[in-house]
Amino acid sequence: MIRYGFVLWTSARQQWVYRSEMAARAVQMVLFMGVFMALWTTAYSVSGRAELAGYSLAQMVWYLAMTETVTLSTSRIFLEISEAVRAGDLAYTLARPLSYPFFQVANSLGGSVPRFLLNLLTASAVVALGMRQLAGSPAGLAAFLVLAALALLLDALVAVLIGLVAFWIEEVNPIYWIYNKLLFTVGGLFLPLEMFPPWLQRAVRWLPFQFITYAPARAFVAFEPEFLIRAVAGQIACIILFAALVLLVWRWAQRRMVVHGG
Amino acid sequence: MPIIETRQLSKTFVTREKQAGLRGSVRALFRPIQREIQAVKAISFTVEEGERVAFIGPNGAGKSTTIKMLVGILYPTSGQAQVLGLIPWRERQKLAYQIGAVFGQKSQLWYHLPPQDSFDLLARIYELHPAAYRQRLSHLVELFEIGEYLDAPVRKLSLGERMRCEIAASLLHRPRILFLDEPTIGLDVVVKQRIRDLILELNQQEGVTIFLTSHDAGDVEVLCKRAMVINHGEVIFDGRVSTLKRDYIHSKTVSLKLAEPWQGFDRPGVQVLKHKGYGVKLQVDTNTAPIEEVIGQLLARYAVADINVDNPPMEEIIARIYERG
Repeated sequence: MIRYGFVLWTSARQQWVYRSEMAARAVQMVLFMGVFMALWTTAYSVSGRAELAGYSLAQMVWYLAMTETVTLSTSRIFLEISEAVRAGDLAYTLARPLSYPFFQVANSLGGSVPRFLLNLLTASAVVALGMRQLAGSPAGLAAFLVLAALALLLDALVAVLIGLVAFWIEEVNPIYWIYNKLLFTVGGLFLPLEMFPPWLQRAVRWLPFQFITYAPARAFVAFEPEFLIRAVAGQIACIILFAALVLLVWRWAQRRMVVHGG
Repeated sequence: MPIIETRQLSKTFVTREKQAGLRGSVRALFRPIQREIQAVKAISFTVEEGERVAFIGPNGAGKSTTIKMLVGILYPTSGQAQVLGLIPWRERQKLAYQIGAVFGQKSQLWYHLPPQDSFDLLARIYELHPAAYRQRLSHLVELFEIGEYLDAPVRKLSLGERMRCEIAASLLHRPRILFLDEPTIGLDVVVKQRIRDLILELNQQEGVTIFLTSHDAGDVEVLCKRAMVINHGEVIFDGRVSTLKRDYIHSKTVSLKLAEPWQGFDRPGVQVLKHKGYGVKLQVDTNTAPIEEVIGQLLARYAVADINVDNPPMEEIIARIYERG
């Protein structure tokens, strides 16, 4: 485990090179939150209600800030893996006493963590200034951090799984695109699950996507110990499931390995 | 007991082919044409501990595929192999602690970080004791003379500098076998020589078994005692490098640029391939005319502006092996 931790640390340090790209992302976050603050403010004043689906205006905006923080920090490791598979560049990483997929999970988290911290700071600053109102609580923040960490781990496993599909099909981008859009919709990026029609709510609670976007943000704006426990349990179940899937797919993939060149 | 042993080791790749044009694309969708490529055909050999073995052949001969099976990255299609008593593709992680690998065309160093960071990470991955790691690193830094690059991002190093760091990185955990896949590819003559010296030193100091692939006959001559020549997935020569040199690499080409007109050069074993103005190309049979003597005589007789000595290309050596049958 310590070894994978050190992989994460090394990968996080390498992220520093992409600091200008990270700054650009921060600007994107500012614009994005600015637009949605204006939209939600109008929506609430038009509806004339203080709460929509149980969320006050401040809660709704802070909810979005937190889902965005996680979503904009998610893994892009599938790109690196599929590229390596295509170019036959797995040789070095494979010649190590490490599990290749878990090495990539750690590598991916190393890329996500610095972006996550930056996104959290930016989104919080913009919303705090724009709304002049806080939502959440210290307990909510703590719950958010725990759930967000598990969410990023789950997301990294999904991204590695998508990357490994490159052993069978050349282009994995469309699969990632679908996954990403599912996070946006049934994952509850823009709208909390409580706003969905009841039948859809029931359906999406059986899917893993809500554990990545909805659960951490919801725990932040409305902290309930019971919700936290249920969310953590759900996340861990999904993590175990996806880790098993990754290992299974990796076992098949190794037999298909073609390391190009001579 | 041999440290590496293969028996009838084979690898076949299946590739899908597509004919040109839209029609070909549609057909490939419904009825793909599959083609089998036999990269390695039932090769058997053994290597003893401490040997320096060169695995040479032209591009696409199956060298890399063989090395990748021995390291455990590729599953063979059939046949057996044992490296340090382990079956590489089944016990890859266990084997990884005892072997090192350098792939000339790839990099194991983190591109944007200084080599020091990659070394630190490798020390953790191989679970080296901190004190032992520090001692080992300082020894390698001294041997490879990489002290001044340790703190510069890898992307800023030249290929030669990077290659020295790559090899040092593969040696941190004191492997018993070092696999080198085209370690000198793309390097200039001086750096090539430096890398060869280092590998040789390592073998003599630490007894590391060297298994090297190359398409450069020069690597083999200087570095190895034993050579295996592989072509189209088959070993067509396995013997001493001195035999290979005597029987097959016995000619070199000397290209000269003179500062005066060419007036001929008479010596048995030296043949003029072509000459034009001040430029001359000679073929030297090194069995009858040692290359050092020929060059000495040429320099004594002519005012030479530039001189180049080349080994025959791999394809030519292979053609000669086939000729002798």
